[in-house]
Amino acid sequence: MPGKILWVEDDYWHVKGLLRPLEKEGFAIEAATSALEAYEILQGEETYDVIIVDLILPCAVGSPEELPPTVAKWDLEEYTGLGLLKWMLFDLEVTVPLIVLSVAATEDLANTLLELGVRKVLPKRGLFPPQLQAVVHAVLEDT
Amino acid sequence: MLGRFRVSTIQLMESIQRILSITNFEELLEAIIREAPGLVNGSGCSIYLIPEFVGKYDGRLVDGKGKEILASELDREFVVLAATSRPKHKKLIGQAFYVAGSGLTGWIFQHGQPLCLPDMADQREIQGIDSDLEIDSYRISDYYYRTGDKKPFLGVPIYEDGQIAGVIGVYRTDEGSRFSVEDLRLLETVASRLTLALTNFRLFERLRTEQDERLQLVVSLGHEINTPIQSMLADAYNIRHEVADPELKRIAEHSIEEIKRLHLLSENIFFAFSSEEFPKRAFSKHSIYRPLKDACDLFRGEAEAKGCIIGEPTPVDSPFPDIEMSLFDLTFAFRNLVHNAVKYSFSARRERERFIRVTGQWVDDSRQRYAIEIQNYGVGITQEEIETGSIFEPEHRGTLASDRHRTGGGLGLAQARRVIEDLHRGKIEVKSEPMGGGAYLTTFTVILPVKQPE
Repeated sequence: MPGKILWVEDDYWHVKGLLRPLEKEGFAIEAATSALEAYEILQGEETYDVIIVDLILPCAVGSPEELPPTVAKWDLEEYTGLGLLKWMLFDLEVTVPLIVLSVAATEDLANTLLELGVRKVLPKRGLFPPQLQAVVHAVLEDT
Repeated sequence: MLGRFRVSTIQLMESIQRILSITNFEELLEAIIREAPGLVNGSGCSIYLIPEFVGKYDGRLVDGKGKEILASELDREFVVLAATSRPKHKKLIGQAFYVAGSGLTGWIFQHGQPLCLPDMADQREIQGIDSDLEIDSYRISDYYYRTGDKKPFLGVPIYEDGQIAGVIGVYRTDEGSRFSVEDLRLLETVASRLTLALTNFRLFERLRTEQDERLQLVVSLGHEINTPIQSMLADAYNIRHEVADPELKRIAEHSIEEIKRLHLLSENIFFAFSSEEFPKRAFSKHSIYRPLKDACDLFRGEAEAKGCIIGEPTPVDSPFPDIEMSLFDLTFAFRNLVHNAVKYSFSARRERERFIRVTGQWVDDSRQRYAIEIQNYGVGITQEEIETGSIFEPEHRGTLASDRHRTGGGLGLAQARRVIEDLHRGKIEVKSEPMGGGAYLTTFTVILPVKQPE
């Protein structure tokens, strides 16, 4: 089963313990800590088996000279991560399963995200690593 | 010439009473537009206010003649007024932005004086007041009727906090006599009522802004606190799972329990201070077993540490039903109730075990409401606390809970009640029976409708 996971999470260094069981299983984890970084990674040649996205993200870390217009537009959404998700689903037309892992993932928002095409929404509060592991397995088995 | 029309004292009192009885700002404006003309035998009324009372300025500007102008064309200081009605309409119809200083209304605003004209269309009369004052008399005649009748006008300034905040103007289209001094006094009375309303409006807007800012701060803090809690939880789990040393496993397990308690406390604080009302929630059907199981599993370790056993949630009469709920909020409520049961359970003696029971059954054969009971043996609740409802008040600490080891902010039961009663339209009840030796059998009963009203 193991594969490659892209995790878009600005607090990656704080909460990376959540992915430890998956790492020990053999999954390769690549992290993007901003919407811009995710944008640049996804424009490249790398492929991923699952993409996990936090809704609350900075557009960019530090002070980039200029944001690409596509990324700058995401700042106008309710959450930057929502802009990134819509771009992935409708512009990039990614086919890999998308998981939202965010403290902002209320039940209301979860329904909206599932309708957009996100495969699974998890609130990032009180979550245990094996719970995330189980969700990743489930979406990969479904694919 | 004095006006021949005089409003009766009773009519005046009734009109003023109607106006005074209204507290809603928009309704007040509409009432004034409706009542004010009758007081002075006018045909219509318009209220003009500075934009902060009527909404966001959209950048359009119209001068006193109705001509659209650009803000860049203004060559002197102007204040923008927003009209809230048109005279031939007897209700609030929307906004138009006028440049104060132009037109009759603008003159009143600039000078802070009332203006009484026998005929708005008489250019000489108007310019006798102020030679700069220009009114398109042709346009005004065209706007009303081409009858040749005079168009008397009466306008007074509206003050708020010592500053001019607008103008109220009344018109006549079918009565040639000019407005009288008595009419002026009546209109000023109406304007003073509006002044009070504007002051209240400002106060409410300030309170609302402060509340919004406080909410934003709480939401932001909530997110900030959540990240380190989530981080510690994940790390503690990984340590417990990967170390071989049983003592280190036990320490990691204890850390997990403490972090869960911290998490629940932060959620309680977040809910307590975030809002008076719940934001809109989407309800969906879930088995009531899910939030009950979550709550029981979460605190099973803590209960076992005191020798208490949290039983599996058990249906009494038939399998647990699906219920329309906000799963997140109801889980939160049951976590609080179960944690309460754990906190206030006595530690087990050698020869006895303590059970915390969680059961469910239908309220009656109609199967429209489902009752969940959470029962524990330990510190009780006094009858007074139950009858007054104080046990559910925020920051209340139980009268019998004097043990300093039973910590807590007193928020859990208050938040649980909010979720169950305010959000889910259910009911929460409690009874606490003395069992001798200072011990009580306490039962919290949560009754939930299976379907939410539409």
